[in-house]
Amino acid sequence: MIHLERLTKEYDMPGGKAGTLVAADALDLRVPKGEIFGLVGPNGAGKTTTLRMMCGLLRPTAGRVTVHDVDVERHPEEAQGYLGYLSDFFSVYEDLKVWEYVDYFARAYKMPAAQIPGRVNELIHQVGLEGKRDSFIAGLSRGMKQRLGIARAIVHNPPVLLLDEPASGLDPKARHELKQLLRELNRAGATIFVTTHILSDVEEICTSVGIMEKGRLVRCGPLDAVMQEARHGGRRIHLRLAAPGFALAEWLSTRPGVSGIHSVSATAVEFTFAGDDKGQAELVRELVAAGAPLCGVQETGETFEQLYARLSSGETM
Amino acid sequence: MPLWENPEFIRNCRAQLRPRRMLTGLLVVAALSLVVGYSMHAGYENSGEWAKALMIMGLSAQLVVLGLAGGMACALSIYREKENNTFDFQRVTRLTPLELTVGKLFGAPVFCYFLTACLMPVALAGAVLARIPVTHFVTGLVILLLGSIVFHALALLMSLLSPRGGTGVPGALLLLFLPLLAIPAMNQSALKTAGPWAGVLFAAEGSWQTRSAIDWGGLPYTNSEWTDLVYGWPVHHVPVLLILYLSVLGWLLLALVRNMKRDPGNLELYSPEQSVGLVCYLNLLVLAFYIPRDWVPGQGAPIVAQRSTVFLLFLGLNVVLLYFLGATLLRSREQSRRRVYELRALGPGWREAVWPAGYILVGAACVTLLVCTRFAMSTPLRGTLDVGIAAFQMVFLLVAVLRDLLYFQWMKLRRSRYPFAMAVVFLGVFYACSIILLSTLGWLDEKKFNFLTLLPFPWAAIGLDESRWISERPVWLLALPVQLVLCAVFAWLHYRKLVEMLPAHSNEQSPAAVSPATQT
Repeated sequence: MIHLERLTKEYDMPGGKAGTLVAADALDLRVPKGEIFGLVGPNGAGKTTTLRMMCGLLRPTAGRVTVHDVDVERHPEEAQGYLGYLSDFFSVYEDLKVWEYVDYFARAYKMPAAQIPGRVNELIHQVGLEGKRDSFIAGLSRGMKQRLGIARAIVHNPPVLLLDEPASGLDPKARHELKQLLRELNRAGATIFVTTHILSDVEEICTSVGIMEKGRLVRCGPLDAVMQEARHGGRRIHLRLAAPGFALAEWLSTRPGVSGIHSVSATAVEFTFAGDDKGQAELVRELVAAGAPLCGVQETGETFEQLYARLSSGETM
Repeated sequence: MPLWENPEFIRNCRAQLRPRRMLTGLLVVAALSLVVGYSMHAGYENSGEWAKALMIMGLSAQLVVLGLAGGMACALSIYREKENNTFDFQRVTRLTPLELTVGKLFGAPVFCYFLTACLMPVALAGAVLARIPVTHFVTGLVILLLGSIVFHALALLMSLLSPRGGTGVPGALLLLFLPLLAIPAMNQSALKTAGPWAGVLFAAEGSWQTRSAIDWGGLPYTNSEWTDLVYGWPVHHVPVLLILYLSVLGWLLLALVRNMKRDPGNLELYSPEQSVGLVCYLNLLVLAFYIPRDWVPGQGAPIVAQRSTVFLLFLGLNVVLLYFLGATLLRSREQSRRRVYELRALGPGWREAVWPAGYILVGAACVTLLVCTRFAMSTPLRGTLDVGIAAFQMVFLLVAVLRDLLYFQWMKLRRSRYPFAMAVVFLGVFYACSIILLSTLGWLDEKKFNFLTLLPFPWAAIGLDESRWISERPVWLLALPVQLVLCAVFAWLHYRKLVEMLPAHSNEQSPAAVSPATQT
């Protein structure tokens, strides 16, 4: 559905400094149909530049982007029929009414004229602006303008949505509604490519993820696979004793496959265990045999936020 | 796509033509028209004269509203979209660049069109009362309208090319508009008033007759206000003006359509071939209206111009045009970097290093052919022209233009905020210093003028006379390889800049691919 082939964008360093800023470094990526792909990374990692090249707003230094097998640079109008784009700023025409704005983009995306009025009303209802249909956009709140921006991006039912920080500046309710809307669109068959800083959203809605740093994808793939791969096969285990007195951390440090031991309290320890279920059962049996008053064993998963914090150096370019 | 279905046009109509706004505009125009019309009536005894003055006032007001205010609206349209960050959303729609251009060209000044329509009753009433022929009135309106559209297209192009945050566009346009209103005759009597003001004049005092004659020197001339001489042939001014407007509009639309949806970091006014075409078009335009006429000193009698004078005139003109051609072809760092990436396997070679010399040579060959053909086919010119000296001057100035353009191309790739502007400043300072120094040494005087003068100031070659060329030919010819060496130096510096742009990093595939389905 979306295919990036050695996509590269280089800039001069700002302020006339020597060196080159590589915003996208020969990116190779294929996002299949029906995915919700989340691109995360620190500020300046090159996420927005990549997205702007994908929708044809920026010309790449090298490489190409194809959407639905259509080259975005060579056949922009055809490719843009497949794309819906929402940027991190939601500028709108303040001198138009809400319905006029949606109608303008429906026409600009060359929808059949007979379908436009129905689609405009449907979308206004879908983004919850039916009460403001005939109001001037200048009078809308920030959240309403953002919803109008979403309506603009999906007015032509694009099979691919490119969203740049869509939840920035939204209140929790609006964020929740946005996630609901994205899920609905995905269920309806849309492939969604989203850049975001809100990592909990990535974990919640994305099916695959890319972590970008300095123009490169340092991790990429289905979310579960990325999490699993990042753990290096280890599992995080939480042990709890009924009473203090047993040197649990010291005992664990002598066991094979155990690493990253961290005492949570006098009676609880967390550690990473590089073994399978059988090995884990054996470890628990040995612990009980050693006299530990074990009362709880829990396998805790690492959140995407924790994984990102561990993987990302957080540097900007 | 018809205009009334163009989404950008519809958007502008909806935003600008709100009922209240239209009513206010209509009332203001009506009130002003009545007051001005009444006060004019008091100033004229003859009702026919008053009616004619009323029509001129109506048409002039239409010209100001449509031309000036409409031009300002166009100048601000894309500029404002860039400021509001809405332009990107238009660029990602399925609208073609042509549709977007047409929508903006007629949409941005749509309120001015409405006001022009409101002014129409005044102009029409004046025309009817003054018994102005319908054809004159309609033709005048067409000229006015088409002239204004050309101006709108120019304003739109300036708006498109102006960088985000630039504030000089409207002011610059305002200054530009005043002379454009009534471009005076280009060359004696060959082309009459070219601005849209001609429309007002034609409605008031136009005539469909064409008159021309042959002057004492055997050259065609005309003293009719509405006759132009095109390649010496008398043609009515109206069709000339309309063709002129349409062709200029064509060139402006070409630039607009080419750049409307382009990445602002990669704007290119024209393709290299189109730029060469534009230079040829401008030559054809000048050649069409140029009458090779000289005036005998003291007598005021016209005679056919000297061959050498005509040669130097077109040489000078085309030096300027070749600079313009070169300026449109110069590559920015962004464009050069992309080119370097395209050639990565081969690396930048000498062809890249001498960019844009190839197209300058093609342009020079084309205009030489055009000018030679034109004068070979028309009235023989006076005097003779030494082919050797003419060829030397042509080649030498061409190499000088190439030298400066290669210098500009090298300088444009330097890391600086305004590299091209700095390059122009440095070159200007260099020429100013050269002129001062050469004047002090007396080397710009006809007698002391020598081949060393040509090295810092090649334009002095225009003043080279026949006797000195014949007596010192080898010395003059020596200046040519020195200029070529300078060209080579700038090409080499340009080449070094291109090599610096070669990607230093390995560009191997990004690591950590976890699934062939997502990362290839």
